[in-house]
Amino acid sequence: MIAKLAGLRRSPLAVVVTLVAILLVVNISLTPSMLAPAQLPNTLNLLVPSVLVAMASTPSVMSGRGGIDLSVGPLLGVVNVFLVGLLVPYGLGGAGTAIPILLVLGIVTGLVSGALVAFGRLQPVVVTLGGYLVLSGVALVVMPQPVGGVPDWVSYLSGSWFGGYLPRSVLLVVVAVAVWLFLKRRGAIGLILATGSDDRAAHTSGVRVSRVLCLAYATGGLFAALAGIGLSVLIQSGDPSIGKQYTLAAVAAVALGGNPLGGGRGTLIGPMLGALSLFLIQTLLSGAHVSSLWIQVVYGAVLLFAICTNSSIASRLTARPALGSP
Amino acid sequence: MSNAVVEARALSKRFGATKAVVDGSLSVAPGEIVALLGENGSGKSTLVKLLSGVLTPDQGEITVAGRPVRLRSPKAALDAGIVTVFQEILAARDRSVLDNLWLGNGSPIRSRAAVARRRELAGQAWRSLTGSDLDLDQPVGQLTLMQQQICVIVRALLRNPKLLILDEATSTLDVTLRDRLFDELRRRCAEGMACLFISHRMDEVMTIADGFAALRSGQVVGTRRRGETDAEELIRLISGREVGLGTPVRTARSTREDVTAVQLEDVRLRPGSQPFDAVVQRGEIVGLAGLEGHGQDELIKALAGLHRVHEGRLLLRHGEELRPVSGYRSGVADGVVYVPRDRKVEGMADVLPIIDNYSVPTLAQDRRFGFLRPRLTRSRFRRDAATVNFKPGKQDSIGRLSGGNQQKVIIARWLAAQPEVILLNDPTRGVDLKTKHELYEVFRGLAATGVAVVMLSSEVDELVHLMDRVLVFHDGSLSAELDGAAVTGEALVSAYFGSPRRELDRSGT
Repeated sequence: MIAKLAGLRRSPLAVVVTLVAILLVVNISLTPSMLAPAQLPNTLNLLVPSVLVAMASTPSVMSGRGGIDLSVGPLLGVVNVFLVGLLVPYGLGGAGTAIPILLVLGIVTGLVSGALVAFGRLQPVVVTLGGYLVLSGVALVVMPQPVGGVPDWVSYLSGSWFGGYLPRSVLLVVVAVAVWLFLKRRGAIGLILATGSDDRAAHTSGVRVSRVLCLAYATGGLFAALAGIGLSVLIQSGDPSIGKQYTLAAVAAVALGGNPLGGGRGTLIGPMLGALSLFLIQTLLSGAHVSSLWIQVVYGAVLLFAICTNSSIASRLTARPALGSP
Repeated sequence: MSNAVVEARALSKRFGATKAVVDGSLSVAPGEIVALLGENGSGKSTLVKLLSGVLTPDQGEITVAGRPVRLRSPKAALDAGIVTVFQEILAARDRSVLDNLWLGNGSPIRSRAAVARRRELAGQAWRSLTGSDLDLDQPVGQLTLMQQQICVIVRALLRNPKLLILDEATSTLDVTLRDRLFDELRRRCAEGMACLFISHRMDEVMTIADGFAALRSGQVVGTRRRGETDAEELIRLISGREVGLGTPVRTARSTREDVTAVQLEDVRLRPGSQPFDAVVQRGEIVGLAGLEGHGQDELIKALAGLHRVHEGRLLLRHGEELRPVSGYRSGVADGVVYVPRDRKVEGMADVLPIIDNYSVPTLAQDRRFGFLRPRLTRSRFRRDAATVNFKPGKQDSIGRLSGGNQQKVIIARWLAAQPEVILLNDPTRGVDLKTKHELYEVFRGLAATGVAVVMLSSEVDELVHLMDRVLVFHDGSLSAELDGAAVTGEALVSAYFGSPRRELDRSGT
């Protein structure tokens, strides 16, 4: 146990685990009702899209070459308005048709970004910023203003099993984690990390780097689509403008989770916990009746603190023997 | 030779106007170790990249076991059985040793049994090469340089190559490991593997190789079998100069003044290297030479204040006294200027106009009452441009100039600082012949005015014809100091390879 704790101290997860632990204790002691069955589903429904979007940002950042996917936020919105504004009116809103369509939408969007980065050799920031703007626009074209009316399965997902102890929206996260574990078992995550660590080494070792990059962005797109479903579960309506704000929180969660933005290293649980800690900060501050204007300031400060701490851990981790030549 | 594992026929590759490989013809038979020899820029690395699918040839053909193949990617070469260990250690530093050893190799992992099998095979391969065990789960970035090198060699061996290409793969290995590697190579070759071996150490080459291919100016100029040649003949083959077109005429020697401009005392470039002393007088052109990465680059950067030597004193003239080098900025203030090797990255701002590239470090000279006077800058530029024989044309952006003209602008920039010592890091790289000669005249002219010129050069012709003296480096130590008429192509190449005659005697006993 002690050895495990000591190991954690040097782990890139140290900061975020500590942060989550502290925030949980403070939150629960201030509002013990948070975990009560009456509250828990609402709390988790609020949390699920944030966690999923943090997961969506993870693979692109891991893949290196300045990898990042800024379009995940608007993709959430597009998935939401597609469901409410297109699929439902055309009678495709059933779970059996809507879910596959939405997931493919996410994957294809990710593939396009990945292909532009991999084959077009364009900078990920620019490509996905373009995607951000295009998708924000698409959402507004499909649905100029918020509209109500979600399919039954979306309402069903907002409920819970076991009298409130197990909210159904958590299923979405379970699916995403299962996909990740599958890819990990297939060795794909290892290839993404190897490419992010040194794409030339990967290339000369016979790894098809372009395909790996496409896979990373497509996985992100898939997770973003799941997050979009999570968003629909949360708001129980269609809203073209709400998705965008998730982008920055997602990048913040990745950084907070100890994944270097340079790629090559990192975990999935880190960004998930990062999203959780951002969420807990928010509930804490709003619970303490701090003005929502201040929440942004605190967000930023926590993020900067975490990144400084993470990078000092990282530099200790990568301390390497001096090289012979400069 | 029809039974060759891999044969290259008349490969050629050019980059823009530079012909990197003109006639790369090579054949390696099963069980054979062929050494590929050549000096800097002879096309060794390009040839290796062509064979390993990193580059595709413009012309020529590669056959594997008699069948022509097109190696469009490294993966294609690996699938054909050609496995390369590159000069640079290419490993994913953040990933574990185990991941790196199997990187890109084999089908995606599915079962625990397969993972365990890979671990076992990797452990065996590591043990068989090094005779010791290693924690395969630590990141490669935490290994020593030598272990990282072993890691990429083991990765190549795990693929059971038909042709193994080792491009300077022994440079960081110690003698014990090198010998173990040689044993492993002989064992593998006895089973039919072929090996293309590149090393800058003549003694290694003579120990391990069954055949030799000498490369000069991108052309395979000769192949020899073991036993029908010796190190001296090989060095003649590698260095053989073509007299006539393209050979610079030896210009009049400058008269050196007996005033020390640069003094080196007990300098050790690296922890393991030998200490040496050296001086550069005013009015002298001194060349720094050696194969890529043997210490000459570190020395010139150290003189510029951009690098620290392991120990020793570097002194530069400052008026009446000699002062230690203290840093780049103070060096410039004291009249020491440095022209970096990589123009595009370190030497110029290619989006800025020519005149700004010229004037940036010396703009203070054009200030009157605290304001810049562009007229002064322009007249200064006309003067210094004339000195370096640069004729400003219609073109305004430095990025559009030819390499030679860019270099002239950069040199003019530093002339404006009125240097006493000018440090040139391979200034004629990528410069056309005519401009090269113009630059040589500029350097001569500078020396004649009493400037000490220290110039790193990777071209043997240039060293022979321009330098008053040449310091040759090998493995981080000064391996020879050649003066005046002693600067010949053969003497230089021999010193590049660390005086092979002496080492041969040692390895022979």
